[in-house]
Amino acid sequence: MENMIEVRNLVKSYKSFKLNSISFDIPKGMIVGLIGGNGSGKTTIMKCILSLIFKNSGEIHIFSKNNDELTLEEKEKIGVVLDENCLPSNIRVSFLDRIFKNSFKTWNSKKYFDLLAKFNVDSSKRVKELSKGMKAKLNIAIALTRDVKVLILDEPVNGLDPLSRDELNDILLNFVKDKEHSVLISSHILSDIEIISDKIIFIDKGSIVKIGSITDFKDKYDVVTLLKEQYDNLNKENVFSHKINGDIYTCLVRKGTINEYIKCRTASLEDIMVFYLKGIKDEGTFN
Amino acid sequence: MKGLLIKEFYNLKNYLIIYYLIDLFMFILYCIFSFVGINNIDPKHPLNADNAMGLLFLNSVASVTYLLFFAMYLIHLSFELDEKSNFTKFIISIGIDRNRVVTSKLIVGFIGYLLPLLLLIIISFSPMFIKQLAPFYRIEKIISNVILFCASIVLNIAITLSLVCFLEITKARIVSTFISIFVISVEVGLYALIIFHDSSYMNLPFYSTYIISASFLIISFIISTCLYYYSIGKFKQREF
Repeated sequence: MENMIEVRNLVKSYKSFKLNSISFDIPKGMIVGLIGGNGSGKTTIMKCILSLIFKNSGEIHIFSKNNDELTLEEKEKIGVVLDENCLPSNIRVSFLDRIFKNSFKTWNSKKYFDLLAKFNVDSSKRVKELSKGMKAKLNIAIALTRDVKVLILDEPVNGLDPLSRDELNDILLNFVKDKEHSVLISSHILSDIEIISDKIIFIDKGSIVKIGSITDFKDKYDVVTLLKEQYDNLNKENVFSHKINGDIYTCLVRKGTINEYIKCRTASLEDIMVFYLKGIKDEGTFN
Repeated sequence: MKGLLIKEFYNLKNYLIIYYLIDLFMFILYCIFSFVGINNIDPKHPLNADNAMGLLFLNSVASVTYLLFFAMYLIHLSFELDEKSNFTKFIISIGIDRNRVVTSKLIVGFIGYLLPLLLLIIISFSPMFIKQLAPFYRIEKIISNVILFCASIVLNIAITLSLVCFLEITKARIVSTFISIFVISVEVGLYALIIFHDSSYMNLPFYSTYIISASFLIISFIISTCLYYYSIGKFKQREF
């Protein structure tokens, strides 16, 4: 399968943080979710891909070319939403069309205003007059307006209501439908990531914990609630981590390996991340 | 580039209007002071009346020169507004070349210096209309003044741009103010040489004004070119 983005052994060091030899691919036609706690390195990875910061070592290829060697036309094929509002606050939404129309060859004014109408963003307002959710929608509209092949979205849904998030999910699923486009998206709303992603990259403290398809994550783990005695009798190789509340143990376990429990359900992506980051580690490993 | 300039103009238009109004206000003020001075110079002035007139004329020219400070702050303001809104980070992430970002700020700087340049040209031609300043109406002085001013514009812009690309905005503003004071002081000194080159104190040939102004222009151009490429190099290394 052809890859839109390839990251190989990416290392980026700061004083108190380091990305440790990160490697992954964003295949064509896929939505890849990048998940992890705050400060795990998601934004750092995206900034390295976008050349906003410079890697210490490793390689990043976009459209089979080194990301530092992309032409302006190739860079125009990358749509971006950053994790904070990055538009001049005094400018009217409609005026942004003039700025971008004169900056990019593939800017489509009609598409821009159609997207604004679809997202109910008032184009006569100034950016500073928009709510947080409206600013998020505006950023998404700008990202989708050019003829992009790859979307890189860093927490694009911050401030969006459930209806708008659902709309965005539909847009992203439609975007990759033809198998010629790809999406790399990071978000803390893991339920959305579960719905739309074909592949998940779980990162913690600058290292990859697990990469796999959504089924590799979802269909392999259960969350079971046990009494202490039941927990003590468990084969700990099937237990990844647990949380304690008095005499009640809640554990993340390998699916189908535990028969005695009070309650059992399939682990969601959020459960996996919370148990990994917050739970007390047991002998089971994610790989 | 056009899109970036449209954005700059939209962001800065109010500041540009205020800045131009300040320029005009100060220009009118200096004209009034100069007019009063011209009509009240004592013919028995210790410097002699002609040289005193020359000093007044120099003062008028210098007054426009100090407007260069305000124009310099337009570049600072442009960077500051973009940094506050993270717009530079955004446009670089979506494919705008970093060279273009720096060049757009350069153009902003030149726009800021347009009105002071026009005012300098007006002042340089003023001896044509004020009979007391007639001795200073020499074509070589007018041309040399304008060349000096243009050289100073180029140098100030390049210094400001390179400092903003190298340092954080607030520090850049402070350092570029001090450097600009030095550059403007040198420029005013050179104006004095040009205005008084044919006075009894100096008696330099007429082409000396061209040599002075052309030399300053060449030196400014060389330094500015180096600083412009340095600015681009530094900006390319900046992380967002």
